[in-house]
Amino acid sequence: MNTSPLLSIRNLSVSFNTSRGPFRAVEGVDLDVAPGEVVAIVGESGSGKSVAMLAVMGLLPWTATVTADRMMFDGRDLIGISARERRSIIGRDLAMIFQEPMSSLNPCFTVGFQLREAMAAHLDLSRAQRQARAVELLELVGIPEPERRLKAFPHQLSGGMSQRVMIAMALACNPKLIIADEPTTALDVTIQAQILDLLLKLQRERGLGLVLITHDMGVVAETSQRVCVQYAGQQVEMQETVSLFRDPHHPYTSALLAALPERASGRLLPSIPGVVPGLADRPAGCLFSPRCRFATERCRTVPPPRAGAELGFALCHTPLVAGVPQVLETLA
Amino acid sequence: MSEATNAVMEAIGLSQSYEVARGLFSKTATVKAVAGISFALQPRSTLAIVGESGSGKSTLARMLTLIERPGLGELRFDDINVADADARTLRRYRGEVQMVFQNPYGSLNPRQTVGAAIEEPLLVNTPLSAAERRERAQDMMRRVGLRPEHHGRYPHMFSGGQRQRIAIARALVMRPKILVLDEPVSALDVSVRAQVLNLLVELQETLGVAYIFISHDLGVVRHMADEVLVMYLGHAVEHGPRDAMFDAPKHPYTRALLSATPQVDPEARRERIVLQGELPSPFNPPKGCPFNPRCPLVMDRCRVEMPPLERKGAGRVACWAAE
Repeated sequence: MNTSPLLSIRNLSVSFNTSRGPFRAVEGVDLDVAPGEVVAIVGESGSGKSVAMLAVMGLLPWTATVTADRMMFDGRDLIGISARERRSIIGRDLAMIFQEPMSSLNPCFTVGFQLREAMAAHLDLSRAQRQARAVELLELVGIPEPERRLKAFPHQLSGGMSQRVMIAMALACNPKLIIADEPTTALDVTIQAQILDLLLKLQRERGLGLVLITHDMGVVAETSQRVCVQYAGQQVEMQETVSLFRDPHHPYTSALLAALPERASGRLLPSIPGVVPGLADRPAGCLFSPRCRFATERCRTVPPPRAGAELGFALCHTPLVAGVPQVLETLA
Repeated sequence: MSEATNAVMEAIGLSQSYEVARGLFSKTATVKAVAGISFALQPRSTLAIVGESGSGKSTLARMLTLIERPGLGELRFDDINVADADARTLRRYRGEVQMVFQNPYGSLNPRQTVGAAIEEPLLVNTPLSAAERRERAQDMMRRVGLRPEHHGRYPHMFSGGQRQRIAIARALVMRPKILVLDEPVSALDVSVRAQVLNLLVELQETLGVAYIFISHDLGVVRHMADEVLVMYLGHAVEHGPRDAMFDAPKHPYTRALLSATPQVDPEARRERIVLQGELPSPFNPPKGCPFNPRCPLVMDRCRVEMPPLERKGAGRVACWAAE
């Protein structure tokens, strides 16, 4: 990366205090996002992809313990930051778009009220200026008749419209980085295409950093420049999108790609046996070892090391190259 | 249709409309949820029904499973039209069409053991003894990849993929000829989705059941289907063999749908056909072709006259512009 990263995270871990003891939802996540870059975080449910980004936003409940070696946003340290100072960044320079637009908007207030509220908190604008900006934002995200829509309540909007409002809200204070958590999962395919095109167009025009959390490999392939793959809270691989799809280094990524019907050749799909481990049944060594077809005895007992950049930072004893496991010599 | 002779199910012009109250002082409105759907389902084959929310695919599923009677049209099994059959005949055919729902978290009763859930259709519909029911249920559980000791457990002890296996076992225990699958894998993660799709393929081969596969995921549809029927606002806009549909879609909506689906290949990024606007309100459908307000090929004729579903090439298309 030639430009200094907007967001830089090293070794982020989040654990929740549950009645059955602490649960590590996120473990050792590293992430850099440069201005103008689109990074996808992909994983199945329970992989901790949303929790990691909520930790960055400071939106986790008090039962969560967040630790990190570094968590910098735009030159400011997010670790020891006071709540007041965090509020001055969140929603202004760092904005988030949530998964279900229908339930993320407050049903009791009009769209216009909710849109102007963020501006009132962060920007030094008069009432009339805020109204004008709200109209401008709705036009920007392609909502027809913006003046009328500002008076509408969320239940009067369709799913696609609500997500456009959410995007307008995220853009209200000219953010530098947007974190979009499954922004199109609740939407139909043709509406998903509209929303993704809109997000990417705005991202390009304004040179924003964009973190896209998704479980859809198609969305990853079509939008992102770089991909982080998470499994059971761990970051198992990070690569450029094109090379990840061409030559995945972690067996999980490889199996995930092979299980897509779009990439299958036969009548039966090469599926991954078993399920993601839960709180009670975490294996001792590599978390993927019970489902991995390349697992050895060492995988089951020793937690795997992280490989270098040339192997996609794969968290694996035997990262794959062209589908063949490699034995790493650099072991202590 | 000549191919209909050995079909396990044949739908001719199935339609359904609902009266909807629109507030205290306004008149009720009529919503045409499904308008004139026709197809013939061959044994051991899979017909995929594709469409966005509001396209009427779930209403169609409710009619095919006899949960509700078709408003208009015929639904034939073995040359008997069940659309206007009496309760006794209906009862016989209900066992032949079973359904698997989208959300395995909502479709299983949390207070009923897995064994009881799978045995319940047998209890209601057959005179089998408790021991025979248990045997049939155990056999079906084994076929879908559940272990015998799961029989006495409750749904909350299972993951989403396993619950969907339970739902499939429950639907198949009556040995139906047709299984209607309403978005069976859309609530599941990729790795588990592949397991369930494989199971469905295997079960079709061993039990010879025909599938009506309702989905919005075209990747999954391409993998599973023999034939595809595309719905838009209650109408069938295109219907044909899978390969023809995916390689040479004729209807502009099918093309847009295929183009809007993200490709899992970052090196094949291309310009998308992005449709303007959203699905029109079913209360106030556009005149003529339902797709005309969003169609890139729209002509004057489309705004006044509904195109019929006509045979063009390998399939049937409802479009004035398609050739």
